[in-house]
Amino acid sequence: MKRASVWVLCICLWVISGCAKPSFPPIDNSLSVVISLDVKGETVTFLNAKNGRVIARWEINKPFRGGALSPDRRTLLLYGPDLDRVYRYNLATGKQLDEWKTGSGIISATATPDGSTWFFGDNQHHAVRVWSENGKELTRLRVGHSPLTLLINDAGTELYAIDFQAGRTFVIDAVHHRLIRSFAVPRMALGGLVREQQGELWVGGHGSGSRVETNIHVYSLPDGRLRQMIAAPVMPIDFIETDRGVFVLSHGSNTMHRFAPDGNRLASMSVGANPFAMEAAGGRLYIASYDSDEIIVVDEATLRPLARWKTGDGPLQLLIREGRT
Amino acid sequence: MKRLRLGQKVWLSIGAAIFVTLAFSFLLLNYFYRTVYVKEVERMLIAEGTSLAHDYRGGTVTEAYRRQIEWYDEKSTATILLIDNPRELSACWPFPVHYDALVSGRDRETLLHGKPVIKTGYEKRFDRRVMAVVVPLLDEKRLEGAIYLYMPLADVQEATKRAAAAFWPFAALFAAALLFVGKRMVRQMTEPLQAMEKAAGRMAKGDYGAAISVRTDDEIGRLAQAFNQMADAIAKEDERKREFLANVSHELRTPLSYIKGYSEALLSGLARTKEEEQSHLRLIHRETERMERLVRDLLDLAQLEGQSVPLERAPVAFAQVIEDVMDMYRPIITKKRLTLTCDLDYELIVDGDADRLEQVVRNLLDNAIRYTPEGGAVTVRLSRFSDTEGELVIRDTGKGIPKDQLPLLGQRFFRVDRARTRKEGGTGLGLAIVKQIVALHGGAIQFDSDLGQGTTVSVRLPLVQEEE
Repeated sequence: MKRASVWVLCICLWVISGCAKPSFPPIDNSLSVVISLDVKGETVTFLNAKNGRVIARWEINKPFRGGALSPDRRTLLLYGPDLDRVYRYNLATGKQLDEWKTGSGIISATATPDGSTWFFGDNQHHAVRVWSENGKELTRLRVGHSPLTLLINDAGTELYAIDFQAGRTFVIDAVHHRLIRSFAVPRMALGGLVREQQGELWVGGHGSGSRVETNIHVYSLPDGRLRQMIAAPVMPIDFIETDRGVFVLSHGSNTMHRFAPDGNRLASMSVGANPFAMEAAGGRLYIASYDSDEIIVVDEATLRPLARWKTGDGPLQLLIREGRT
Repeated sequence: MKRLRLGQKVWLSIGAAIFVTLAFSFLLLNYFYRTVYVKEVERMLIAEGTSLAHDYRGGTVTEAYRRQIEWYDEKSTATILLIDNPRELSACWPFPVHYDALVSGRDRETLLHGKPVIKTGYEKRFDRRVMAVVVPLLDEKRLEGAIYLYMPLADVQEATKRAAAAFWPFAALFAAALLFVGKRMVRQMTEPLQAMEKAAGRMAKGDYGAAISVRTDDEIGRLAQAFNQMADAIAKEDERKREFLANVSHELRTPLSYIKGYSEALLSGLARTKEEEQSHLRLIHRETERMERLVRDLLDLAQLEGQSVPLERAPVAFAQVIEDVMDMYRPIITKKRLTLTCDLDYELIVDGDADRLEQVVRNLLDNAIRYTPEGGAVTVRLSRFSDTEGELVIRDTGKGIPKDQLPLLGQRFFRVDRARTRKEGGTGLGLAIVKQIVALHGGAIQFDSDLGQGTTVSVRLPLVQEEE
């Protein structure tokens, strides 16, 4: 009898351990961290934003392609077109919170500033999918083909879904979850910047076919008209606007350009090897160099490199999580 | 369908073997040539590409460098491209750009490690099969460009075709020479066999003159030799058979003509007196007896030679047998006033057939007495020759036999003096029977004589071995 109960206990333990969600080293809430999503190595590297020391490296071992932080900066989402769900992790505990069974095809994600609604770009269903913060799908909006870039305005009322293959940008009412309008952009468009004050949308891209993109396309937000083209060779794909201007990363030429708010190029600097992502915080720019597996820290004011921090294999995206006291 | 001759079969086999060997050599040559040549082309492309990449000084690819590559492209046998378009270098690899770049994402990884990429196969961009080498232009970790060198695989195959063009004429010449030599060899091998076949056909028709020329000392040569010997033996046997038949008919004809002549004389009443009639009848009777003896001896000999009646072997006290026979001849010995000397070892027990052994002694003694003139001497001696054999020696003081005729003794119907022997009543088969009986016993017979020297016959016979 005693032996049987030991067996039952063992089996129960085994079942529980099998079902248990993986947990990783926790990330202290007080620390400001740069989060590097290393897609080649399938790891997430957390670096101290001050000194670049690696705080933790999460071995995800799943083919994720991108990630997003919840507006409250507590939760990390990981997704990928080859994953059939979105994984959510609590940074403070390092534990997986839950999984949202979206089905495969998720290629982008963003949330409203209040965190109540999540938008996912889906290249399988060719849709923008709207999910509640509780993990329930609210609706599904059919757009072009691959909504690879999702941008939301500061108020959280309008969502811009720039399609990678269809050559269109779709403007979505983020409150009522409906498509407002769409306008043409170049094919293979990637990355953008919403400038509400100027009523502009800057759109970058790779360029289609053998033609490489060398310009930023600037569209009028109200009517989708092309206002101007700003030269930013080659392949401008990531944008950051700070007090010091608009910073644009061109991965084809390993260049970072700095523009004045009117689109006038102020400076350019050579940076990294095939850099794909850029984030700004505390007067610094953090640039992920995909081929050399590092983050290059650049002073925003002087555009001088400050440091090079080693990441995992193939950093494709960066996220910044400021610390709270 | 016509059946192939042995020579044709062997020649065809040689031909097939040559063909298969050449085809296999060609395939092997093709394979090695291709492998070696492709390796060589690959090595050359890598060397050229690496050498060109050495001139790259870092940073963005300059126009001067581009012109340098273009100049080299014109001079080189390979086509050389300078790639600095990030799209062609798969710089956007993590994104699904749907573009067939010259350098794939995986190749880019290799290039980023500073290693060249080697590609062989169909390249969609050029719409042909190529052998290509891509050498990276690296500025630290930045892949600023790549030198893409390629050669159409058709050029490589062209080189193999040239090798084949040189191979086949030599191969044909070689095959022709081998086939020619092969044909000669086959002819040399099969000619004796064909000659034997023809000779066998002739022999079936009664022509025994084979005489196949023996050229070699191998199995076929020895077979031809054996065939010649066999043909000679058959020819001799045939000759002996003819002679035998002639002898038999001759031997039978003589008494028959006597019988016929005298019986006709009696029937036609030519015998005038009773005595004359009696004399004719005695003659007829004598000749009948002689024919009877002749037929009996022939039968005997046939039995012995054919071994249709096996020997009934048993331990025989040979001395007793000899004595019995001598007793039978004593009246004649006395009549001819011969001196008979006897020296017999009574201990000797011969392993043999008593009746046949008696026949041997009788025939030999009969001959000795018959050919020894009146007043002569006959010596009979039986002694131990060795542990296993006993020897019977019968010596007479007759007129002897010429030395050159000694080997002929024992042949059927051989007589030293034909006329006289027939008159003496011999059949001419006695010694042949003796020889045969001795041979069947596993013994030996030897004749020693010369004209006027008398004759000595020695017979050796196996003794019964005493069991230990």
